[in-house]
Amino acid sequence: MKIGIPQALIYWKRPFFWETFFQELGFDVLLSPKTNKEIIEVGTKISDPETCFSNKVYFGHLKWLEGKVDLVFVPRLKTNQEKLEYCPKFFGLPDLAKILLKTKILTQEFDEKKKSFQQSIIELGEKLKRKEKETRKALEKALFQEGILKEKAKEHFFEKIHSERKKIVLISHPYNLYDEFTNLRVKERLEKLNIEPIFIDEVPSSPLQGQAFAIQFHWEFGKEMMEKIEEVLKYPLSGAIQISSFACGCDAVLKEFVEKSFKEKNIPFLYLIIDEHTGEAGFQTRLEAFVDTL
Amino acid sequence: MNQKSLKTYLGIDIGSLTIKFVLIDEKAEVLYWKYERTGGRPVEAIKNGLKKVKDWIESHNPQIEICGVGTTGSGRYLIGSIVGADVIKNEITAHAKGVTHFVPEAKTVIEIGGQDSKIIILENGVVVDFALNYLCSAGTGAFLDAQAFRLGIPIEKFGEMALKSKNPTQIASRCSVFAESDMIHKQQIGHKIEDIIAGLCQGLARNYLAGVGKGKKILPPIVFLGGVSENVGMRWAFREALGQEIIVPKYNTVMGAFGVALLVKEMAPQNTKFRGFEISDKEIECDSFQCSGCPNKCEVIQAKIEGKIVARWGDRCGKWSNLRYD
Repeated sequence: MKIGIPQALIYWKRPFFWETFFQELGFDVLLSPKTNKEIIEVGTKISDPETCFSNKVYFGHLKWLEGKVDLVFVPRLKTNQEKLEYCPKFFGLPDLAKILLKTKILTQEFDEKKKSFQQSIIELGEKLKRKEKETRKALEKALFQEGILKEKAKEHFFEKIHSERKKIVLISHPYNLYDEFTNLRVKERLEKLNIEPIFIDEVPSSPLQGQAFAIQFHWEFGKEMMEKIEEVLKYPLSGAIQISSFACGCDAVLKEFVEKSFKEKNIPFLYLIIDEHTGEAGFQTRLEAFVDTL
Repeated sequence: MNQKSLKTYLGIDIGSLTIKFVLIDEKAEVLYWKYERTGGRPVEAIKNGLKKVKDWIESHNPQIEICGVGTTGSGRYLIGSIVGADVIKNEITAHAKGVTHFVPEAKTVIEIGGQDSKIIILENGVVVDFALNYLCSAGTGAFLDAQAFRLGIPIEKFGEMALKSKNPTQIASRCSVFAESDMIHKQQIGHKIEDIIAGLCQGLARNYLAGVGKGKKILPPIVFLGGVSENVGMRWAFREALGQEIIVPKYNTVMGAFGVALLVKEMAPQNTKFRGFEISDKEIECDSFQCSGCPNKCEVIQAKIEGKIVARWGDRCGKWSNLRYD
């Protein structure tokens, strides 16, 4: 049996985790390819115009998997370990996927207000007719793989933060940072301008220090982002760039906090919005001009 | 090289609607400048423009030697590869460079061109913040152009008309489309043309400050540039809205070209990459093809001089644009 995973949006919250987990359970896994023009075109066509760009991209990936696998995995992410909510757009993904695809959808709710992550994972295993013992073993393997990745990210961060080049921290959701097509290869563009781009999600931080925050966070990514920003501000930075998907409601709120934290420290800040129409020329002009101001 | 030759630097700013040329000498004095419409044909515009520069040189001072060329504006890469530019610089940096030459203490730059508008915040002559219009071009030159045409008033007279108004009409100007329908409505219920035009200028200034200028500290001295800065109605509207003097320096419409000319002059290239004025007479062609290397199917554009490819761009992966063509 083959399980398909769309390589977009929620995938980037835990890359390698899900594919390792399903493979350990003895399934074949097919990841949709990296985002390309066709995927975006398909996603945009089937989406409601008010949907944010990142969700449109996700729908394109879902469609790509249709008919190529036996099951498409679309988890319902509701709250995390700290009982903070995920983006509300994630809640309805399995329902939308069921409408959009003829291929069967495999889903599982993750709501830690109700159930621990482990319990939910075991339920997922049961749906695939796997015993608890097998599921636990697969989970362990998947967490191990994820741990290696996080270690690497940390090393990567320390390597870059000590670079001789000017450092710009890129703030966005992982699905924008790691999707080169949607972010118009911002990393490569900055490197060509002799800049060391640092991804915010590579910044090591421990969730505990978040208790010191004055703001009560509603969204998990908001808290995580602000914690990492607090951490990264301990290092010398030349600038910060925040990238939002067009029509992202959560970022509209979050942006103000992000911008404030850099402006308070007199660190130049640039805000960029990406969507299916983003012109490369305007994007490049903004980056070049921003780098010139540093 | 001739002993008596005069070293000069050429700056070219190619925007969405217009092309600007500025020729400066080693003392940064402007010898020649030109502001022209491209008619949507940038390659033709560059050929004609260069011919005019050449004619001017021949009739005024044949000793002039071009020691460097810089391009800026949204078409900077295209034009840069055709003419052989030594410097290709974004329009924010180019404008800031130009402005600080004339108004060294400038703190705010308002620039409104054909299809875009920008704000630049300077501190001690250094750009510290900027913004460009996003997703909306209300209030830019193209819109004013269209409205002037619709009202049958030459664009050059538009500003003067606005100044005649004693009672500007309120025009909904959050969006060009709504502004136009509101203008038509106000005309139909009997408002004077000059009041409507004045109201439009006020609305556009408001729209600019609320959109592009959002969250920026607009401190004096304030410099106003770009094609729209020629419009005295818009100057008045900004002065009213900001309660500050608005400085419109010399060469206000060609400041980007001047700035990039200054940048080349400072760089002082040993051997300029400039292909020479002969390119005006050569056959320059741009065409495109769809790359079939991957599902992205990029539209790759190529510029050819006399059939020889000089540059390619438009590909996402760099497979075509990173090739060397010289």
